[in-house]
Amino acid sequence: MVRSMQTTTGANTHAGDILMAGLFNRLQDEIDARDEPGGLSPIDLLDMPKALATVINQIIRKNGIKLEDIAAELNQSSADTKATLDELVEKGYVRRVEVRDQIWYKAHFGRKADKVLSSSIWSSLDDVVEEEKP
Amino acid sequence: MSKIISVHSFRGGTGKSNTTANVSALLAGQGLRVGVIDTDIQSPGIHVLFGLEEDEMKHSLNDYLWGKCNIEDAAHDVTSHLGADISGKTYLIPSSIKAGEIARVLREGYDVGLLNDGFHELVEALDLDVLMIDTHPGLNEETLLSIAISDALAIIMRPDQQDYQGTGVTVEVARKLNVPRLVIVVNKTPQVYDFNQVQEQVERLYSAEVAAVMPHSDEMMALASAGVFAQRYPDHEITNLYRQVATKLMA
Repeated sequence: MVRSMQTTTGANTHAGDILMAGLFNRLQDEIDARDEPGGLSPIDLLDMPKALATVINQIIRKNGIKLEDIAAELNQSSADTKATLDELVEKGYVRRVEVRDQIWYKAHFGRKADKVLSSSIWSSLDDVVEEEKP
Repeated sequence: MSKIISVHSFRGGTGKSNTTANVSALLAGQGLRVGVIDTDIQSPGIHVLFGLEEDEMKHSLNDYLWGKCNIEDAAHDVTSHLGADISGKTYLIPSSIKAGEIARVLREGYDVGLLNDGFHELVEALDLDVLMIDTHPGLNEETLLSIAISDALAIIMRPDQQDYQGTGVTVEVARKLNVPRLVIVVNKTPQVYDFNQVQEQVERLYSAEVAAVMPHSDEMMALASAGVFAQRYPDHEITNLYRQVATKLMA
């Protein structure tokens, strides 16, 4: 899916366009993204195949990048880079974002996992303390 | 071109926040615009070094992550807290020190993508030359993200067997995340050690550059985080070593 973003900046398209995109578009985009399952965790970067990790690393560093720019950065053909990007989009790690009729690729992070403690944790701890009493 | 620098240690108590604060103050002293962001959401503390009181914190990183403000609204200009001879700027983005807010972010989690956007937005909005990220010890999601986006990473360790092992893990992770520049700072080194030998040993062990071997310092301990050491003791040996670390991180 390609997301369309209206920008308010001047003629030079760069990563800042994504950052400067209108507030409401940005919020809508974030809400839509949250509705999607999964997403990337920085932990995924550690056990990802090198080809995918290299590409997504560039995307994260630039916080959004176009196909031709990433191919140039990595000294790869556009076709090879496109295949890797398609795989990353398929896995839900990357999103395509449309900025002024151009496609940018942006990391799609999942929400950091909630740390839910069981409500019975304190009584469980009390039990352990009791058991350990001499 | 702006630079993102992360300061990390595998274990707590290594002097990570002190290193971040001192290096950032020295860079601001060179006329640079420096942002310092405390991503140690679970146990924030660097605001103390910059003398930022709780009631001065209008917004924090937590507010940004919960959508209550823009990231730049959480930036506090702490340049004047550092002293008169700072020609640049230092902005601190603190994490909340309210127990309820720490608990909330731990319980509910947050959008990691928003944190990544925040780093980049901050650089643009404040026109920063350098963004320094003070991380949580060990490896968690915000730490890995910080390392992944950094142009340079300083790993702080003490000459301690537990630190040796943990530092090895961090070095391995940093290499996997393709951090362009990685240096190690050996901190709190007992004066009785041969510093050259420590440097050689650490460089050989990790195949990484040691930016400085810092001695244990009574003056630093006595300061007890009540200020930024380099500003209080501009001519001290430790301040010169912090300068060395700053230079190596900016290289």
